[in-house]
Amino acid sequence: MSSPPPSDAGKPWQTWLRQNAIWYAFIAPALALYLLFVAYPFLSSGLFSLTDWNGADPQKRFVGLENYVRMWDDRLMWNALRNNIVLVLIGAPLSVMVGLCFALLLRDKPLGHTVFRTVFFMPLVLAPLVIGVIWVWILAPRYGLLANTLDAFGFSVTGPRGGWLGNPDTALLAVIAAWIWSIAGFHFVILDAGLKTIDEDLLDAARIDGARGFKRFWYVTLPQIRPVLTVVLVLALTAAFKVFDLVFVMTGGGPANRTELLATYIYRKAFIESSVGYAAALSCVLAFIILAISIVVIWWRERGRY
Amino acid sequence: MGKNRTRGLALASVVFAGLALPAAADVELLVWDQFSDELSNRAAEKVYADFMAANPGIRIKREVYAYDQIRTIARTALESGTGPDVIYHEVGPGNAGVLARAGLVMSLEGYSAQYGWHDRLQPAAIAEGNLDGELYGLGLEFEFFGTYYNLTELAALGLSVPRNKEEVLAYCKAASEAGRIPYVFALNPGWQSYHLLSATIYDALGGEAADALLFDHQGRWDSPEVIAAVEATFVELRDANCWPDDIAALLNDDAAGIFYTGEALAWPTGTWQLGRIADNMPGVEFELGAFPAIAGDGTAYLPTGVGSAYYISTKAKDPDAAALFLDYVFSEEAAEAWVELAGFIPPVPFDVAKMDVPPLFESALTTLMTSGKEAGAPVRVGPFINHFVGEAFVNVLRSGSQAVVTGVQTPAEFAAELQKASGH
Repeated sequence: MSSPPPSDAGKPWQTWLRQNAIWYAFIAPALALYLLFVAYPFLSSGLFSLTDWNGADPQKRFVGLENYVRMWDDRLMWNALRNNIVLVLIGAPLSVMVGLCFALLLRDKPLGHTVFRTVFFMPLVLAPLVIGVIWVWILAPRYGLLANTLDAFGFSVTGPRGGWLGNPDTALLAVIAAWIWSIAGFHFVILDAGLKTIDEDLLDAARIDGARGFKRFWYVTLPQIRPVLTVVLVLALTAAFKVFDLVFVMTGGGPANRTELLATYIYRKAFIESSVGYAAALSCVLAFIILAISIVVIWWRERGRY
Repeated sequence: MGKNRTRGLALASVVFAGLALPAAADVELLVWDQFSDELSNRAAEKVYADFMAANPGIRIKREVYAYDQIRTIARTALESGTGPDVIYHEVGPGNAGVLARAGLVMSLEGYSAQYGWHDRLQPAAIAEGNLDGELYGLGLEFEFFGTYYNLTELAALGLSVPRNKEEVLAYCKAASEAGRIPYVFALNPGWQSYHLLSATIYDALGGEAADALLFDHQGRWDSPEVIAAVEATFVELRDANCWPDDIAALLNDDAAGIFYTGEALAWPTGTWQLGRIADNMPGVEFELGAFPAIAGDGTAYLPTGVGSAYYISTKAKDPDAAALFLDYVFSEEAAEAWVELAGFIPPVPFDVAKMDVPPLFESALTTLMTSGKEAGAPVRVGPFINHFVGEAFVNVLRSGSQAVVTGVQTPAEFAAELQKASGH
């Protein structure tokens, strides 16, 4: 009679290792990169936020939550946050709507749809700095493309006093317009893919039942692409909070801090004013804001679904 | 036969490649500078090449960065030990001062005693490289802020250079009625305001009171005189159509283009533009003088100083070689290249009569030589305010100027923010 196989009951970790090691081996490289380039910098930033480090001194003096307390009285921080919220509330939904419109227009593959698809996507391959420079040229009141084009068609539109970028009341709107132009193509690509997953039978049934275009969109298309729309909206909101390059090139945060955003303000604090500790605290707060908004949006969009 | 031919070609290639390789230098100095435009780049290339020719054992490896790029990467680079041995960095307590306090750049007092820099270089170049009384940096471009007047266009319009506030207002009226921009000025992103306010605030306060406020913190930045200076600069001149409508949107390059085309008759800016203006406007007659006194007792001020300076890293592999390099950069031989090729005014003695310089350069030197520090001089010399204050104050100068000229803020509110940012 052969002896029973040796029992592993005393070494569960070996069983677990045999069963799961291969999976962890596959994700280990990505995990290592994530830890090195995301988690570690984030944790370091959190630690820096508890100091008054200027970015150069070898010693970092611990100051506790002083940087976070300082934010409450920082008028310029609230100004930057307010500008960011305006960008988020106006820019994010509009960029998603523009992307969705592009996707709906090209859904039935009209003549030239390949060309249009390329054109809509093209801003995405440009560096944000390049986009900023282009829009400065477009909006310049003196020699800008917008002013000269309208003038060529007989419309003498000089724009607001000081130009779109030089007028405190319009500068942020101009930045928002440039940002929407730069990102709508990305949303278009995702939503276009989402539209392709819609069950055509449902649309046909709705058509047969007499539902017109908007009703088909509202009652059939929109619910079908709801998960994709949620993802795009969250991406848009996140991206809106991280806008930096456009403002850096177009206005530098001016005029009169009217286009200063949290990202540009953090940059100014860290690299111009050498307040790295305070800048780190600001970036932690920004990360928390983005996380909180993302959770709220996802919960609101997906409520009742599960 | 074929194989021998191949071997021969291979051997010849190796020999030629070996001949083409530079001889190994004893020392390699990594130098970071900001001379990215064509003129200053040409000058730097020549100076560095001449130094290497005179010192075969030292090779300069040069990397060029924009000035704001250098300030964001300098700290990390210098701290790492793999950064530059010599760096050309913006002066000021909030700029290179941070590096000096952190021990990232070394004191040059010892080398100054060895090479005689304190005696040879202009006091302003030494002063701006000082931190807490110790020399850390050597400023290369001795600069002042004034106004370039396009005399050719002015003559064609029957206008003359204004010398006081009343003449400025009359000049602005006449120039704008002729469809021209009286003074082109760019306030995007706003650093340009530091220089203009350095002139007009000194105009309003007077040299002694302004020095006391800036250096000894005696007085206040929200005083009636400072408010009057801001009011005159950004409200009265704006309402008199002296500035372009889109002043807050214009970039410095935009202002340059508008001046080069002759659409603007005058450009308040500094001698750092001298080379480019002379290069882009050949055949035009200029005057480069102080911005007219529009506040105070009518004495115009010429803000002077250096923008950036050369510093030696405390982790430089061969500080002696780095110091030798700096000594050459500030030599009379190098001065010729800096003057003729870049249009710089180096802070060392040089004989301009022996050099091929545009008339605009001679105009700049004349302005400098006829101005003085003492009371009674027709034009008095003052500092760049932004070189001696913290970055938070500088930020208020920038954003506040935009706010006042666009009507978002009053001069009094701006001055109150300056006082708060001064921390005194």
